[in-house]
Amino acid sequence: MSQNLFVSHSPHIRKHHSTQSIMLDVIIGLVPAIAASLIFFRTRAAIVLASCIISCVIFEALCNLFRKKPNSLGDLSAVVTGIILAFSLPPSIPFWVCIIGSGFAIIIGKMVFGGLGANIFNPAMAGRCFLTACFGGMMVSWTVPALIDPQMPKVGEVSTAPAALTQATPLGLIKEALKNKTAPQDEKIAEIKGIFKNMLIGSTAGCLGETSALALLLGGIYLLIKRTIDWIIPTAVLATAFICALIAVELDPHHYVSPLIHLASGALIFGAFFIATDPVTAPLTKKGMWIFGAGVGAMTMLIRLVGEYPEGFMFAVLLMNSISPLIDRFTKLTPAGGKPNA
Amino acid sequence: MTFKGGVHPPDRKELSAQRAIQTVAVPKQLSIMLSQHIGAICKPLVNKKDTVTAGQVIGNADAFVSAPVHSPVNGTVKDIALCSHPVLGRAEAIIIESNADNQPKHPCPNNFDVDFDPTYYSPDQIFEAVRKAGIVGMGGAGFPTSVKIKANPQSPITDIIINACECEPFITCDYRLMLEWTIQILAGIALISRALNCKNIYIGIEDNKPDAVATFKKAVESIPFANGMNVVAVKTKYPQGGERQLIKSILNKDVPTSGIPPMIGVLVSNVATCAAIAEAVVLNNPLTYRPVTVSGRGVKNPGNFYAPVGMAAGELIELAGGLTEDAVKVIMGGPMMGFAIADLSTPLTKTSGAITVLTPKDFPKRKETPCIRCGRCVAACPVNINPTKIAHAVKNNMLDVAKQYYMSACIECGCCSYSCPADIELTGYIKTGKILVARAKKLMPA
Repeated sequence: MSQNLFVSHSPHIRKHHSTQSIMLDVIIGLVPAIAASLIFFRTRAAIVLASCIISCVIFEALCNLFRKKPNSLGDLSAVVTGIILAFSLPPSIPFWVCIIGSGFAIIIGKMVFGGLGANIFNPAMAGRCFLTACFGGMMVSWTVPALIDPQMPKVGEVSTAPAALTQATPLGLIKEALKNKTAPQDEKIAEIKGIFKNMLIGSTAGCLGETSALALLLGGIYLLIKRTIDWIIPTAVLATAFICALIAVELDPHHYVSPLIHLASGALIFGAFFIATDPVTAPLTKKGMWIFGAGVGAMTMLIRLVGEYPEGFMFAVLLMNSISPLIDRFTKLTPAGGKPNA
Repeated sequence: MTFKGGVHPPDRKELSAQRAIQTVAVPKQLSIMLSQHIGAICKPLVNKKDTVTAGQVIGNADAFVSAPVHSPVNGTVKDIALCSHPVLGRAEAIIIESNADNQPKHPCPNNFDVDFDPTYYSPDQIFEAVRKAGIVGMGGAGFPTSVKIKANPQSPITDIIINACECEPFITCDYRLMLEWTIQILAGIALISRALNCKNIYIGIEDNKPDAVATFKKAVESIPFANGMNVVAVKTKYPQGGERQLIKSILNKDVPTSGIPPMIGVLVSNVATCAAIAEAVVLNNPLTYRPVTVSGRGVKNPGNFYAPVGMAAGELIELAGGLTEDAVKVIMGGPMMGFAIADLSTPLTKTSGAITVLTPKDFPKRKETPCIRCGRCVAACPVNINPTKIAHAVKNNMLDVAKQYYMSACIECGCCSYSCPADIELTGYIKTGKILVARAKKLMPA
C-alpha cells in the first residue's frame, strides 16, 4: 500500500486508437490503389509516390525544426498527404515538380496554419492547386498505362523508349464531346463507353491514383468497415454527383455520358473516400457532413459539365473546405433536451 | 430501445460478476462524511467522546433537500475533523471508533417474502421512514430520495423507471443485488409506487445481464405485489444508466436540459436505493451499509461487498486481496465517471458503488495531441452537444463561447474523452469550464 497513485479527471479509460492509428488506417486503405498505380504506371508511379512522400515528411520535419516545435511526424499525416498528392498528379510529372508541390502542400497548406488540425484547406489539394497554376502543361500530360503500352519500363528498368505514350483521359474525351455543342458527339461518347471497363480496373490515362475505381472502392470499404471515416461524406458526394450527371444525360444524351461513367472517372471515388473525408477540413456535425458532401459532388459536376476544366474535384473540395467553418456554424447542435435556461 | 450517441467500452464485469455479496466485518474506525448528498450539509449532533449506537442519527440538517447521517456501529466519537472526500477534496466527517465486541448482528437484508403488502404503509409513513433513514440516490447522484417520493399534486409522477442498467464498466454490485435480493428490491419499488400513487413501472436492465432480466421477469409474474411491473431489456451501451438516456430509451421522452425528470412526470431510482427503501420502511434500518464492488486488474481478488458507509477505501481493497504491484489508479466509482483518489483512507459514502483499481494496461498515460476535428466526440455525445468546440473555448478562456455551445447541458459522462483519438481531456475541460462559470457567478468559492 505504498504505491504512488495517479489522480486525474474522469474518464479513466480510453478507446484504443490514436491520430496515428487513424492515419495508418488511411494508408492501409490506400494500399490497393498504390498497388494498382504501380501495375499501371510502373517506375513512373514509384518515382512520383516516393518523391511526394519523402519530401512531405522532410518538409514537415524542417518546419517543426524552424518553429522549434516537437516532432510531429509520428502522427503519419505527412505520409498521407504525400500519398494523396502523388495520387492526384499525372505519372509523367518530373520528380522536382513533386517536391515543389509537396513543399507547398506541407508548408503553405498545413504548417503556416499551425500544423495538423489547424489547416483550412486539404494540404494535398492545396499543393496540387499550386502545381496546376504553375505547371499547367505538365499537369495535363497523361501517360498511357502499361497494359496498353507494353514498352513501358518495369519498376527498376531503365527506359529505352524515347518518351512515354500519352493520350487523353476519359474526362478529357468527355469534355471534347461537350465543347462542340452544335454537332452531336455520339461517336466520342461511344468511344468513352468502350473504355468503361478499363476505367473500373484503372487501365486508362489519368492521375496516379484516380484511375482504378475498384482498388479505390476496396480501400474505401475498408475505411468504412473500420469506421475510420464516416459514411455520410462519401455517400453525399457520390449520390449528388450521380444525380447531377443523370439530369445532364437525361436532358441531352448526345453530349453527356451516363452517370456511372462519371463516377468511375477522374477523382470522384478517390476524392469521395480519401480527400473529402479529411476530418480536419470537413464539418463536425452529421448535418454539416451531408451539406459538405453534397456541395463537393455538385460543384465537381458543375465544373465537369459546364466549366472549362475536364475535372473539377480539386476545386470543389477546396471551395467547400473554405466554407466548412461556416457550415459548422449553421449546423450548430441543440442539446437533446432543448436549449438550457440561461 | 436506446438513445443517440454513447460508447461501448469493454465492460470487464467478468472479474467480479460471479462473486456473491459478502457482508464485511465491522472495521475499527469509520469516517462518516457530513456531506454525502446533494442539498444542505448536515450539522453534527454528537460531540467528541460521545458514545453512539448503531443506527443513531449523528448528523442532520433542517432543510427539505437534505438527508441525515447515521452511525453504522456501536462505538465512540473519536473526533470531528476534515478528511479526504472523493469529490470535495477535504470535508468534515465524524470519526467513530467501534467497540471491538458488542456489535449488533450484521444487517441481513434478504428477509422479505412474497406476501409483502405495500398497502400496509401509507404514503406519508413511507416518506417519513425514507427521510429518517437518510436515503439518497445510491447510483451516484446522491439526491435525497425523500424529496423525490414526496407526492406533489401539482406535477404528479406518471412513470417510475427503475435504473438497473449498471452501465459503467467493472461494476457488478447492482447486478448481484438483483440476483440475490430480488424480492427486497421489488418491495422497495412497490413502496415508491405506493408513495407516489403511480402504477407505470419500468425496470430497465441492460441486455448484457440476461440472467438478471430473466430473474426479474419471473419474479414480476409470480410475486403478487410486483404484478404489472414492466421489465425492459435495454441495449448495452454506456451511458444507458444515465437517467436522461434511460428515460429516452424506455419512454422516448427528453428531459428538459436545465430540468429534472419530475418535470416530465418521471421518477428514476436505482436498484440499490429501492433495496434501501424497503429496509428503511419495513425494518426501520437507516442507510448505513451499501453494496460496493471492488474490482479492476489492480486488485488481487475482486468481489462484491456489503460495507458500512464510512469505511476507508484502503480497508475494503485489503478485503479484496489488496493492490497488485502494478496498480496505478484507485477510483471511487467506475472508470468512466468515478473520481480518482490519492488517499486510501478516503471513506465510502452513500453514493460509492464501486472502487475500481486500474493498472497501466487500462490506463495508458498518453499526451494530448492536436484535435483533428474528426467528430468522434460529437458522434459519441449522448446529449448532442459539441464537446470539442466547448473544450477548445474553455482552453482559450472564452467562457461565453463555451456557453453558446451549451456547456451547461453536459452530463459529464466521459464519452467524448473516451472516444477522442487525440487524447484530449474533453470532459475535464468542460468540467473546468462549468466550475469557472460557477465561480464567475459567485456560486462557488474561488
